[in-house]
Amino acid sequence: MSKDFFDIKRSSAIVTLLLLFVGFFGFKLWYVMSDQSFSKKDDTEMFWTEGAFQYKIAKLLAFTGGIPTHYSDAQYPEGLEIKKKITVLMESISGYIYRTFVPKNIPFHLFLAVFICFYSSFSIFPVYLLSALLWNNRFSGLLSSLFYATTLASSSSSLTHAYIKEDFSLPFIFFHLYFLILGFKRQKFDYTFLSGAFLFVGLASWHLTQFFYLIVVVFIALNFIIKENFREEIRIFSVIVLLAIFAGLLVPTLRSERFLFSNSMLLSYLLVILGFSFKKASWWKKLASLFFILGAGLTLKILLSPVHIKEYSHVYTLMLNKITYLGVKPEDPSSLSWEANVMWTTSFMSPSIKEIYYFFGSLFPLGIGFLLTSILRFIKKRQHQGESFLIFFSLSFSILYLLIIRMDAFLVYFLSLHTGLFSKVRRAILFILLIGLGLNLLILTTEKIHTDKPMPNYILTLIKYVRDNTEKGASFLTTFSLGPSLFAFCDRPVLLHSKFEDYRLREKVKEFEHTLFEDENTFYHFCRKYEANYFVYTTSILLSTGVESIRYRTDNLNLPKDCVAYKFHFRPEELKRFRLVYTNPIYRLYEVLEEGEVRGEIDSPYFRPYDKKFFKEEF
Amino acid sequence: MAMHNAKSKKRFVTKLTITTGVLLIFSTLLFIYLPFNLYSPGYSIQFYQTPDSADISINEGKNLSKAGLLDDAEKKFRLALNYQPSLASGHYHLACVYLKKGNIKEAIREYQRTIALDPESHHSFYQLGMIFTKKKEYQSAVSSFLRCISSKPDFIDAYIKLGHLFTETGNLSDAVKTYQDALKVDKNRADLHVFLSVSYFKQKKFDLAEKALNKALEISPQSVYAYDNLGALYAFQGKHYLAIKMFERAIKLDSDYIPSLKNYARLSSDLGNLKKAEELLRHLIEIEPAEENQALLKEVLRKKGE
Repeated sequence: MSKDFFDIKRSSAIVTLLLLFVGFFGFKLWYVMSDQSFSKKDDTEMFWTEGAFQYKIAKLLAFTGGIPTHYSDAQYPEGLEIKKKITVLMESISGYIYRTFVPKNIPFHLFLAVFICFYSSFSIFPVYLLSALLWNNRFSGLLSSLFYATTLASSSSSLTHAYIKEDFSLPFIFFHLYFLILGFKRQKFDYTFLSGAFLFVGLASWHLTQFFYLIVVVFIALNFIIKENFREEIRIFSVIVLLAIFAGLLVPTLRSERFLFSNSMLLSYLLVILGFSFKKASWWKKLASLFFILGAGLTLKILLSPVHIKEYSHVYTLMLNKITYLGVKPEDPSSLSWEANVMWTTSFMSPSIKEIYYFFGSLFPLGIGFLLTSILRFIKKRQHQGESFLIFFSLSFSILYLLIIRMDAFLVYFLSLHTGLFSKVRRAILFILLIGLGLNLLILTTEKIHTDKPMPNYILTLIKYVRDNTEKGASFLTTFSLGPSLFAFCDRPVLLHSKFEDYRLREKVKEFEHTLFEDENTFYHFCRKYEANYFVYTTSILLSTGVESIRYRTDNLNLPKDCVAYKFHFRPEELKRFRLVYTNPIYRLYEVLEEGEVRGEIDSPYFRPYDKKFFKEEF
Repeated sequence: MAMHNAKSKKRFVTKLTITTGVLLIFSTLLFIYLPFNLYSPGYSIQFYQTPDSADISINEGKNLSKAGLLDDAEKKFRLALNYQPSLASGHYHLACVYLKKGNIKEAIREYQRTIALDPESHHSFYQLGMIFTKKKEYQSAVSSFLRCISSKPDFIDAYIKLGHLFTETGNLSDAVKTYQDALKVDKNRADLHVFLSVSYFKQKKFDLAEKALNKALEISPQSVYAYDNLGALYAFQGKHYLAIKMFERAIKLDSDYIPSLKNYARLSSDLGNLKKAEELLRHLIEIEPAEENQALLKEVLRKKGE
């Protein structure tokens, strides 16, 4: 028996961490299962938008074992190149585990609810490991893990039945970071190899990982410029680059979008080349070389491989506009491009003060406090080894979070790591940290978690109607957020969905949203062009006027009264090419008539949202 | 020896790390490629059933409730909600069963759940209005009826109940307004004109009350209720001849109409026509042998000296 085996401190830290994991997982599971809207028996409308889309793929895999490379029902009629456009690792693992190991009397969605809670809790391990490594203190690791587990930002998506990629990928990304720092610290290639392997999984499972990787590369580049001797680190980093190249070659989604020509990869190649070329050079010389070659590389990329830019133009445009307008959407929608407009919604909005408090609780002020302390220590050159890494990532993600609320999943990780700094400053701060932990626990257990999902009863009744009253192969046109629900829970072909990775889909959504404010004939021709049999109108198309609304992003805040959207809402009896077949207070289902088909009489029940007298001023 | 151990441990860690990394990469590739390689175009699965279990249970529950088997109906609705907890109609029907069973507290809770899921559920607001009226929680009852009307502006029953509530609580001007609003929805409802006349009568606006009742009779010349009320109005105003005429018309249309029999008997007694009063009261007691009616007859007989 080795001496380490009997190391009481180490063993108790491991046991505490395992208990913490069980607690974290157990809390999520309890929360999900005790939710009054959660059904253990029926999956209808359990997931929404992106989550519904992914659920359909996973369920298909669970029950048939395979998915088509070209799926026409997912993006009717042209079809979606799933293999090339969608990362299916999360769905594949969920589906195959269920198919292989889970008894079929347990419904798939029930298994999935448990499985999501399980894998999303794994992040707690890299939090502990990295914090303990950075601060060289196991208690720091445990404290960071505790903060991570009790802060709502780390679990809000898994608590609200969201089946999203980030919950699956984040543990891999965090392990990648841990082994990267460990590799740098111990100057060992094997750890870096493992780090690269985790990055490989991250890249293969979530599109956004490559943007995270860009930040990692920028950090390496900064170190390369600032530090006099960074040659060994670059050598170690080259292993990561090599594995990223493998990912770019072997992962179909990365291959199709030319990841190897992405900005992050171009910078990576450059760093490796310069790292091996310069034995010793002044910082300005390195900076100048970096800029010169990178500039040339980017120009070449634009000329030779525009695919990557086109596929991710929505992300780049969004970021550019976010920076231009300092995170606040302008009042005049025409000053933004449509791509930036459509992306700049829900989880891509900037957080309000209330949301910062709600999602971070005490971690935000405490983490920022520690970040500032770290910066002071850095200035005084008293920082701990690896602290500069944390400063860079915490600062980067604080800024990114203020621009995009979805970045909270990363920021909560880095701010939690920062709390471990207490072991290097005054221990008295521990008391404040414990109070902070208490506050976070209070928020976690008492606050009701908000979701973007609309009222479930109305989606449910719409789904039931579509299932019972429309033909199996009938295709449906509706907003990109509702489309996946019809695709997943009605098993009907849909024209639009929320996986914006496909450039053609974004163009189609743009055309759809603009055509809604044209006349009936133009909209009808759009429906015929894409072979839509039904159109599901949602009241938000006309009634919402906020910065996230369709009217805002199509620059139709001044509504043309003769547009088809107005008729879909207030005057269905005036429509000649669409027949109203179902109404509830939020959704209206229209049948797209054949050329020359007569509409006939319509009989629709009364609902207030369609009564013009309630909207006297605006309409 | 210790150095050798450390070295072999180091070698083991390196091997483990590399193996883990390789396994991670290979399993990732496996899970990425396998789904597309295993796909066969012939695969087809049933994603759901139509009608689904919740719908079937709700229909069964409704039939059981109609048959008076309330416990079984409750079980069925609970089963439906077990399948689809967000289904507002499930909560609504469950609330109705509780109401029938007299479990008011649970009924209120389920109606409120229905409203949380479907804020346009006018039936739930209506039922809540009725419950609160019975519980004499007038404020809540009024707001429930108002919300019901707002969700379903042509739901006449809600106007009527709200109007009655206002009349009962002495809020006569609101009662008048409510009936007038209801008449805007359907001006051909004779009963609304009669209710309106009652409110006018209580406000001592006799002309308007008479006008409203005549309007009711114009719409529904066979309205016993309107004749009776008109008779009562004339009797109150001392227009005895007209009052008798109206009561007689009412009794002609419905010889067993209790209010008219009673009102006419009282008027006859007051006017000294004791024979007519006795005749009317004896007929009334045959239909409704209530103590009050017996007392009235005794009073008439006492006057007659019998």
